[in-house]
Amino acid sequence: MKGIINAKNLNLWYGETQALKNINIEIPEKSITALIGPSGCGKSTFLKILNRMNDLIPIVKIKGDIYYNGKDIFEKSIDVNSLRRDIGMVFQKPNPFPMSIYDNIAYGPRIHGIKGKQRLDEIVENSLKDAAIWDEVKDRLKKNALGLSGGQQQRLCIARALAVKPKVILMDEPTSALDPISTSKIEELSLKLKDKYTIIIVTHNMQQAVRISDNTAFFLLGELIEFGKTEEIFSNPLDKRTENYITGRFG
Amino acid sequence: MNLKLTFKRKLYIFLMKVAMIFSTVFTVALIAFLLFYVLAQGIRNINFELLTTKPSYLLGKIGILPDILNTIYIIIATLIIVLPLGVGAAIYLTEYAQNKKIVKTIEFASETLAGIPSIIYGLVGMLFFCQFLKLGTSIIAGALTLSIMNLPTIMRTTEESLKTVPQSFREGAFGLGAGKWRVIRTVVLPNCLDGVITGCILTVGRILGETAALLFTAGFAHALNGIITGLVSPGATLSVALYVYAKEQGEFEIAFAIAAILMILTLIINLVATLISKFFKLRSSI
Repeated sequence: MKGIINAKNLNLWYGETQALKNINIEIPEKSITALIGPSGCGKSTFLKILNRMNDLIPIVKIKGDIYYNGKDIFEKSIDVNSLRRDIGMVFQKPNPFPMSIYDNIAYGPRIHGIKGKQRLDEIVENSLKDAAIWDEVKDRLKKNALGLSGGQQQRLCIARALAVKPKVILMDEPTSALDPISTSKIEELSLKLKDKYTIIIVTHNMQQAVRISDNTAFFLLGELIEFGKTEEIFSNPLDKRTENYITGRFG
Repeated sequence: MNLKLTFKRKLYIFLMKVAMIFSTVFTVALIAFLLFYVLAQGIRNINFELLTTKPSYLLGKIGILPDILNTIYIIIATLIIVLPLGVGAAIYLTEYAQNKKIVKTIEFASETLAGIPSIIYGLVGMLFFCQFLKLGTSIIAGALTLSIMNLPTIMRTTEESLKTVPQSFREGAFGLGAGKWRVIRTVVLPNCLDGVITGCILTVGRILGETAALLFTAGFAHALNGIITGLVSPGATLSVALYVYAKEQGEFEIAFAIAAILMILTLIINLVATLISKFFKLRSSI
């Protein structure tokens, strides 16, 4: 499998504090990659620069490169809006817009110029079906999305991300605010989605990483310590620090 | 241990209770007296003819239709000028401006501006709009002066409500590939409409009550004009007319009638404001 996202000698600073140190990683296509590590290790920061959400924070400085499909995403000629269309994102806390379920899903397609009720209806239905929430909401598409439960809201957000037909979906601890049943629904959904999409997921839950991911990257203090097949990382880690973390000795 | 209240303690509680009840009753009575006095004096002098005619010295009659129209003209003109400016400035300051120091300075300046006595706005408005820009004493000069006066209000209320829009809404929209202006237009602004409306209502209330700034800039005329000629001619609003009738012409009955009308209008504005905010709360809770 070839890498869809490549980071080369990536360094990042928040003001004077270095948050990422010389990261080199190649993330394979159509698979689930888990980013694990203790709080403040840089895994969420790394996730967020992949679709340049760091642009919203003015004090961030970056050295090094990230290639998406061979193109450097920090280059001036890159249209960041198209980049984010290709690399969608699901956030830690479900954040549906305060509008109807239908409008939430149609928001993305509308940005990218898709008009016509029939086409939008189709996209909304397919996205909701792909996110395994269609049956729960099909009778109340016009109702406000904030009326859904937390787990439903998160699946709605996944559907919203799917509606713009991304290639990569970034998930920033998508289940940390959810109950176990909702969590297992999202995990099952992720496993189903990896046939079509590349998923990169930040998680604090190591069982979750074992359950769903193909590859795991372990971050510590801004460094990428180890990256490899999930079963190998968890059964036979090469680095002592990885072993200490996954066996629960710190973090 | 003795759990019983001592006599001293009981007396203290009793006295405090009496003091609190007294201050409440006193406050309510004062407001009630003011309301009833003005309404009782005013309402019996309000009649259809007063509301629908203009004053005539030949017939010795007084009508306040021109003043009502002037008030409406000045409210509309002020809102048209101040809304885009205030909302635009608020959007720039909260969403675009990078230099936080400058933002803080501007916010401080606008807060100070909001506290300046209105007669100073009148003076400056007269010198700048009426004389320097040669608008003369006119409704439009008054509206421009009131716009400057209310700009901080609209700006601050909009800014405050922009800040309450959760960052996660913006992130969600950016994450789907939306441009900055689209995010503001489709996600941020709809969620702070109630703030903008609150600002408008405060502004309308202030315009209704404003006299000092308008005495200088919009004048005292009671002529009946259409909106276009009305804007460039001098004209008294209801509050100014109240001042003129009471102070210069000794027509206290008319002054009280106007006072009653202003009070009723204020009441209506407050009711509308409550209804609108209820409507928005209801909508966002569905």
